[in-house]
Amino acid sequence: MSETELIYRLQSTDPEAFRFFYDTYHKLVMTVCFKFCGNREDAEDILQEVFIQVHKSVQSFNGDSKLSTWLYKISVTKSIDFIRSKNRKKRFGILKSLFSEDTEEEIIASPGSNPSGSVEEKERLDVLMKQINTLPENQRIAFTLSQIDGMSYKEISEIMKTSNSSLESLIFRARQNLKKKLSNYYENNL
Amino acid sequence: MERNKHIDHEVEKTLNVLKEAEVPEPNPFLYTRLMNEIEKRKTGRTSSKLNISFAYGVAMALLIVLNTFSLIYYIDTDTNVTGNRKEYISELVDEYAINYKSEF
Repeated sequence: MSETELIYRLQSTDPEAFRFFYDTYHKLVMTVCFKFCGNREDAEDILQEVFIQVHKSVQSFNGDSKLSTWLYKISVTKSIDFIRSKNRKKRFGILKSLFSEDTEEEIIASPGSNPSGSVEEKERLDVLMKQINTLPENQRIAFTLSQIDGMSYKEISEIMKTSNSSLESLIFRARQNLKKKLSNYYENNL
Repeated sequence: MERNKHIDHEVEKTLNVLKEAEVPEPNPFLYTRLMNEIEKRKTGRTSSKLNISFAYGVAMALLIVLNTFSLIYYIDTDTNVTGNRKEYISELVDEYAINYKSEF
């Protein structure tokens, strides 16, 4: 099925086309979501939100970008929204714990489970995700997208609506910041 | 020195872990869950739209009824006042024996 035909059929609310669209793109969406949140459960929740958004707004897709770029944009927005809301909940949890008697309760959830991958990889990923979450938002997006295999700088610039040179500088600054933060972390924890 | 080298090594390893991390396969039943959620939200949206329409209708009806009642009350009060005023004048005329066809 060509992209134009797929878009046409999606806009005609054809369920078979939606299934085809899901089968074709769910891995791509899962990759973006997973790279942003670092665990399977959250990535699945975000993936669900992405496809619901697609289902809702495909009528307004006018084809001025590739379908995959449009999908990447939605995935990034939903991932960032999810992380923001999770952070809000964490802050609220901390506040709640200050006024609650039950101090034993665990407030901040760890980045969660990732069945695939070794324990060491999981731990490293947890450490990295915590540090990435402290970066300014545009650096975080640029860095995370640059970690997706096969995603070109051109594509990332299009998603972030920025020039190639700004993107390069964003990624460079993100890496420098992360290096500093990770060095501090390992100095205290090794 | 050795420690710094070790830290740098750890930092580099951690920096690359996201790129190398294996992306897990989503749950095979995720599509079914997704379609259920879409349906649920659709029905939710429809019922909330219906609720909003119903509430809007009730509010408008209430507004019309209230307006009608206040209009009726106003007309009624105005008629009574006019009637009372006439009675009051005639009582006054009788009491003071005022003859409006006086020498003035």
